[in-house]
Amino acid sequence: MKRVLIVDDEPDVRFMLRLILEQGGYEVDEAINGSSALEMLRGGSPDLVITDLMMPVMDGNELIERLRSDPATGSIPIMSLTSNPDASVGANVVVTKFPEVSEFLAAVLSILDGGPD
Amino acid sequence: MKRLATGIPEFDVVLGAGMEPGSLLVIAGAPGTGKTILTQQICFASATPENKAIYYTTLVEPHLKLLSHVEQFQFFDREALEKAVEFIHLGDLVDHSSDDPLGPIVSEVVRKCVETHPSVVVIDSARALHDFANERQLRRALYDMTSRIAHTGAVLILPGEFTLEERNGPEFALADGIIDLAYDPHEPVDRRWLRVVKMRGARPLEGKHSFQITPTGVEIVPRLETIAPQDAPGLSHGEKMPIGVSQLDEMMGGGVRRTDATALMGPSGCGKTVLSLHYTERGLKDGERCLYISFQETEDQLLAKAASFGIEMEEALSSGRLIIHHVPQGRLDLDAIGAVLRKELTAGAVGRVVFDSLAELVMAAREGHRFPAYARSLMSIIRDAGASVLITSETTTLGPELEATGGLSFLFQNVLLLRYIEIESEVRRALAVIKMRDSSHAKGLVQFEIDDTGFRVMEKLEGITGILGWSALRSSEFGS
Repeated sequence: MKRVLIVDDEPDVRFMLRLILEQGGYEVDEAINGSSALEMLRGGSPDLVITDLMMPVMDGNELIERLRSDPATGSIPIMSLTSNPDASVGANVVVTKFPEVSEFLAAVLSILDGGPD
Repeated sequence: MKRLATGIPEFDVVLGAGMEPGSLLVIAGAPGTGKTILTQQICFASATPENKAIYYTTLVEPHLKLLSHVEQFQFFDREALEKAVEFIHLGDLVDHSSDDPLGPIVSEVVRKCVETHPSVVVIDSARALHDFANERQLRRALYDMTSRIAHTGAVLILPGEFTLEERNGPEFALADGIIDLAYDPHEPVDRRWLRVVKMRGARPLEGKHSFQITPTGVEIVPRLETIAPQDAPGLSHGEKMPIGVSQLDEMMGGGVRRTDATALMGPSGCGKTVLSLHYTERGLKDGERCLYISFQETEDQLLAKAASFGIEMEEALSSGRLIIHHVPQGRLDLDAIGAVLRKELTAGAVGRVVFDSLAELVMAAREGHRFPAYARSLMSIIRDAGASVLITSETTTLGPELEATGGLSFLFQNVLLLRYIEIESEVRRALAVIKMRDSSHAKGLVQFEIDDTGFRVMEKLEGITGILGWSALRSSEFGS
């Protein structure tokens, strides 16, 4: 089963994304900001990182930059989830908050070729 | 140090020149009073990519809801999100296992200020911080946060629905500025207002200032008395200017003097508005710009009424020389009326102003004790602008009116009285010049009529007494 790491400072956003992704058959981890995501990534790489941009401690663009510059994480697909798509830098896919469930799962599927398994 | 504009010019005026960099502002008010909209408007109006606004949320509402609400306002700019205005949730940073549960929040806010040099930092709702820490911990956290942020020059704004007891809390003790917002349910229309309780290093405007929430955002109208002098009316001076009805002007020695305030008293339907229209018409004929503030007739109704008396005003209206401002009952607000007046007086020279009528103006006050000071300020700014003003005032239909100017007769250089009289079983109209300060005037009572040419003064009533009573009796009937 493919693993997705959700990075967002808002608990309700994490809750909803987890719900949608788990119903879609994905395994989900959560981090509350970029810094805690980097901590979690030390324990292994997910198949996809979905990150908010505006977060405390470390924002989404800095997280993406750090992931890209590290050979161990540089190839992890990244989706940024933002209210202003123009502000996102370096993500594979940019999705405007808050997407329709089907649109969101389609975007995930476009990155994780072959679906959750 | 240069003060930071809020982006809301009238708010800057109320604050006494914007916000001081490095200061702490508390915006306190019950739910629904406009704290969040005001604060978000400041963020979008003042933020730039170089000096962002950081909007931290605690437990107020999800960002998605916040954004869906704020995007309805014209000040909202989606392009500014992340680049100039950031919305960041702080709730998950609280360390519930520590003796310093708010420590991570303080670290985050200070780090952000040092790294990105924001102009404004908001924590909404600051009240929710009380739920995460005891008073000692909260006081320490707020002290650390405000003292450190002060070095970065960012203004920290703490909106919150603080209770009366909580107003002794650390936010208020540390605050450089305290602003109260309130929602005041009151007929005929509810009102929002704000009051600057404290503003270190500035001279804010005192008292309650009305504001409305409109599609453009928060629109503040500074309390008129705080921005206009409340001088007592000075001596009548300047050249005479005709009222616009020749026989009446003769009675008044040529009319009123420029910058005079004139009260036109009379019962309903007796001719006050008609005479006001003549006054306006004469001003327009003399090349003056005229402002007519009407509380009863709409613009169309007023134009139709004028036309029915042969007074043509449409051309002056379309050319901008005549401004008719209709204030419906549901929009009665003293400060809003004052704002309209100030706007028109500064937009160009105004020769004549009409308020039709005083009763609605008094009703708009809602706070009776406020009205005398307001009226003084109103007259002052009209007089200082070099304009004359005519204010109609309704008296009772039958019998005398002891004080039709609401105790404000000292504000008026001139007082005219219109009234119904009974003569030989007929209801007729009569007028008298009751008072002209520093000027002689005819003392008699004259009949007048309203016909299709408007206000027509007729003969002086001779041998009549009882002017202040309902029946105008012939003196011979008193057995003289």
